Amino acid sequence: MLSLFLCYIQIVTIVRYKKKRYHRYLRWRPVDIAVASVIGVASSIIFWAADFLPFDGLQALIPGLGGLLNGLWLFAGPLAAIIIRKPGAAFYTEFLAAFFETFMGDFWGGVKTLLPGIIQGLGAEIAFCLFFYYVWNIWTTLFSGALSGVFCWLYSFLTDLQAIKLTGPYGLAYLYFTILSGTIVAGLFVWIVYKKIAMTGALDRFESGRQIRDKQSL
Amino acid sequence: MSSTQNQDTMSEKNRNSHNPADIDFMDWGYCRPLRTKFVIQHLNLHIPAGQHVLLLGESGIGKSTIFAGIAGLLGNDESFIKEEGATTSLREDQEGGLTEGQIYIDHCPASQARHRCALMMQDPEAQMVLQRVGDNVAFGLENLGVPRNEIWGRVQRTLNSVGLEDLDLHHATSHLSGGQMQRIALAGALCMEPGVLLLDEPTANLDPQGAQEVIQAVHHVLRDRQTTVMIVEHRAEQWLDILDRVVILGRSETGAAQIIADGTPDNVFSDPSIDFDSLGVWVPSKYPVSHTQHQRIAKQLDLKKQVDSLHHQDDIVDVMNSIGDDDSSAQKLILPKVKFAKQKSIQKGTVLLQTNDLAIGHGKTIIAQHINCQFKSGEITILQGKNGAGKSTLSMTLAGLLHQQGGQIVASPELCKGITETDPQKWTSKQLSSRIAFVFQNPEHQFVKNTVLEEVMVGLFNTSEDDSKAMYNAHALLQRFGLDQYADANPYTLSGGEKRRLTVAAALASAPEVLILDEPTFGQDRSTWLEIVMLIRSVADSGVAVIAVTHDQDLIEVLADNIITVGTTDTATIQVTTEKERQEPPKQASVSQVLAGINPAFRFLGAFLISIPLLFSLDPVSAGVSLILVLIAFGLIGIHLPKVVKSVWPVLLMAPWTFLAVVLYGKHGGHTYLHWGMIHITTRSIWLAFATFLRVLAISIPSILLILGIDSTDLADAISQVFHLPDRFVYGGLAGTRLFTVLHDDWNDIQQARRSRGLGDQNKVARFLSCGFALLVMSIRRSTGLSTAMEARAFGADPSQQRSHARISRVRARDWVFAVICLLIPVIALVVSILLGTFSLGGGR
Repeated sequence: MLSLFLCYIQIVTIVRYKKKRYHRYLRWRPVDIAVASVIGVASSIIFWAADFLPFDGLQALIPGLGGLLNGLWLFAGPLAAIIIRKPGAAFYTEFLAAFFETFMGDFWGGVKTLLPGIIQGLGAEIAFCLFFYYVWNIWTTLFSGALSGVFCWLYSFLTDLQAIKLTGPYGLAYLYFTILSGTIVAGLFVWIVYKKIAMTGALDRFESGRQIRDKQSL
Repeated sequence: MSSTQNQDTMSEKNRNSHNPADIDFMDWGYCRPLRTKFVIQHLNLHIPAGQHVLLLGESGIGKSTIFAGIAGLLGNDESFIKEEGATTSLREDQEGGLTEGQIYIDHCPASQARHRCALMMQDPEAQMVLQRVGDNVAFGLENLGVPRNEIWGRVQRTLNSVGLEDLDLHHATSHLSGGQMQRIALAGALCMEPGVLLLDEPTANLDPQGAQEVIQAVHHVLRDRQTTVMIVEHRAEQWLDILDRVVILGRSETGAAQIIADGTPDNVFSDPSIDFDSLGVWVPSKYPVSHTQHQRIAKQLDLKKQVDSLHHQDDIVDVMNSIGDDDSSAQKLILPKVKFAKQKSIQKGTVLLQTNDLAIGHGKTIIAQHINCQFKSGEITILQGKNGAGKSTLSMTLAGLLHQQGGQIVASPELCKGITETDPQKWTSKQLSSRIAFVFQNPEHQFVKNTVLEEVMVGLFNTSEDDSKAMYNAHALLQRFGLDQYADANPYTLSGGEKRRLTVAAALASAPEVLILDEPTFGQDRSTWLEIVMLIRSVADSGVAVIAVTHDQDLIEVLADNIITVGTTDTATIQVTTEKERQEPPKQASVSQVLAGINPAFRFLGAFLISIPLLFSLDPVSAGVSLILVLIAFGLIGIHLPKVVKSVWPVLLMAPWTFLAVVLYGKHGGHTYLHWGMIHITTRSIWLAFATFLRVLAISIPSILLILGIDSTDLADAISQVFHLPDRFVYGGLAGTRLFTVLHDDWNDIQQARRSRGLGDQNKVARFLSCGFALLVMSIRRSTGLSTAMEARAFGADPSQQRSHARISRVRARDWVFAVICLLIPVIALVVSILLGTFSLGGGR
């Protein structure tokens, strides 16, 4: 049912964008790489700072509540994707942010930071990939944040929480909270931040920035 | 066969690039993204090979755009034709800019001749792409695909030629002076043996000594190198003897840049028909025009003083009326003063701030002590000295933004205005902002609002005026600073000079008695410079004590009432302790000698090999055996248990919580100890919790210790050469890591700016969000700068060009042995668990 609905939306949007003869650049410029990398650096600092939050405590005491914080480790991918609008931007940046986090000396141990980085990045990337990198709006951003949350949840149950039933009450509560957090922090919040950054003119070299500023000047 | 062919074309390319190139603009023009008007239109200019040309013109006229055009950085990305005209075509690029016409470098379109041009920019910090000196210089050569055996010879030769032969190639760039960094950037550019060398304000951000070093280096290299050179610099003075030609840009009626003058320096600067003042050009002192320029400044300042004294007691409206609308220049001179004249009742010459035996420094290091000085109302005090001598530390300490290391700063009763506390450091942010204002060198550090108007209102609210009055005053203030037309614009979108004016306006809005400015005239053209000078004078004349940190000699000459020199020489007013030549011990790549010798890529690989197999079984035996084997292995290579605990202690604190979560909510089975709501403690959940706990340790401990201490540059080399991931992304990411230190400094400045503007008393979350956002914008701006710096070194210039590697990342037999050991540990553990019958995939259903 859900997949049929998704297919329908996909087809509709593609037909729409093809009609508009929307120009899509897929090759990365050096500036795209530089900005993605730096968003990665800035995000890694926030990831690292978020490690100090009492995630594990929350996790243990109230089922799934730790999931509410997960969004803080998910936003790098959607943010870079919505700014740069290139295939792989979400994955590259989320992965890089996790990579830099391991470099700063994190709490979880290298592999346990990198692996979720890869998995969450994939989640965030798939959301935009499903629409063939045509659609960059608030809905795809929210979708990306949510999907990234789903992948993050899945990762937890493949590793540290293997001993807990995926579909049990704890697993489901954790899933809902993670999706909620992903949608809000890595979706809605990212969208707001992106618009605010665009208004400063810092993104004038990007289609994403000019879109916002065009509207601003009207 | 193909490799020799490759080398042939390579060496031909190199031979070619020894020769200077000629530049030809054919009806060229560019329109920046989101603008309706072209910055430059129909530019036709021919620069013969080997000529040295100076490009002059006011800020924002498009000099840097021209350079970007020559360097092939504009319109080269899959640009498509937007409009086909009869003679020209307009091409829109991915940046959103429009290009018309063409620039040819030796008859080849600029976008295809990127390897022939090298660009050096204004900001030394932004041009350091990698961490180490040698790597930075070699970066361009790698991008050009120069073979490794040639690279280091060329790097050393160019470093010698710019006078940096003493510098160790492994020295970190972050510990260098601005002059040194700028010479490294020059070496990086020259190393590529460009046909065209573009110098975009190379000395604008440097102190006089640093500027001198760079100018000498350029002079020196041009003596034995044939290359076409174009320089943009507001002050022509020091470049005169190497120049063949001067081109001055001015605005045409359409607002686009056009060539106003073109000729030899002698011809251009002696031409009486050119109005250098309005073009924002400083004329070198050897030409008579420059003297009249200087006289005019003096006269204007003098005239202003007269006007000021005349109207000293008058009210705003009277002054405005008495001048009338027609005499706009006179109005401009008087206006900034008016507001302050109304509200200040402090006698000129009153001591507002003084230091008693003050000691300053960062953290625990004292850089200067026994400082005794006074700052009086209505006087301008200049703090001068070399970059990094401690001027900024002193000024920030005076501004109540840094802790003093000893002694006191005492605010006079007039400055305290009713607070009993006399130490500015102890004032709240709000109290501070209405008494001592600090204008940072980088305007963007202090923007806090979305519009120019709100930016000024922040200060007005701090002086607790009511809304409508604040609004009225804000508009009046913006008008005085010539910013009223931008009231609704985002502060970040203003030009450099406008941003600077806005920060001063915003600082003055809260009516401080002391105004401290950090490098107010940094990189400004002559018109903006003059504006700022006038502004500072009028602020001081209205009774404010002004302290300006600067090394701009012209500024000091026309403004200084007092001069305080901060330095190491005997003549300095404030003696600072010489910063010891930093000794950098080579960084340890690991806590263990053995690990340090392993290829970084293999260390990462090892961390994965040691962890992933363990994920298959959740049982205490496999995890426990693996953990024991890991600890034994670490013991054998010299990482003993205490060292392990020291490096991984956070994991030891976190792991019990995971244990608890599984005990309470884990899969259940066997005997039930407690069942309450979702909590269900059973024999099985305890068993699984124990397994999880051990596995967390068995995965985290080795992966932390294996990765700890890897050098990022070495790792990038390894990833590129061992894993063969795309170079553009690997080195793009590596360049990003350099911003860690830069962003750290930005963060401090942003926070101090918040305090100085009266917003430091906000609650922590709001302050964090606001500073975090400012940092994010800052980092994106820095990264676009970084990408320009990388592109200027031919990064990504030619996708078909294989990038070469200056550093080899070797894979030896021991790396393979290491990988096998890493894999063996979990495999042995799993085998043991299978034999003992405890193996259980994912902990069972």
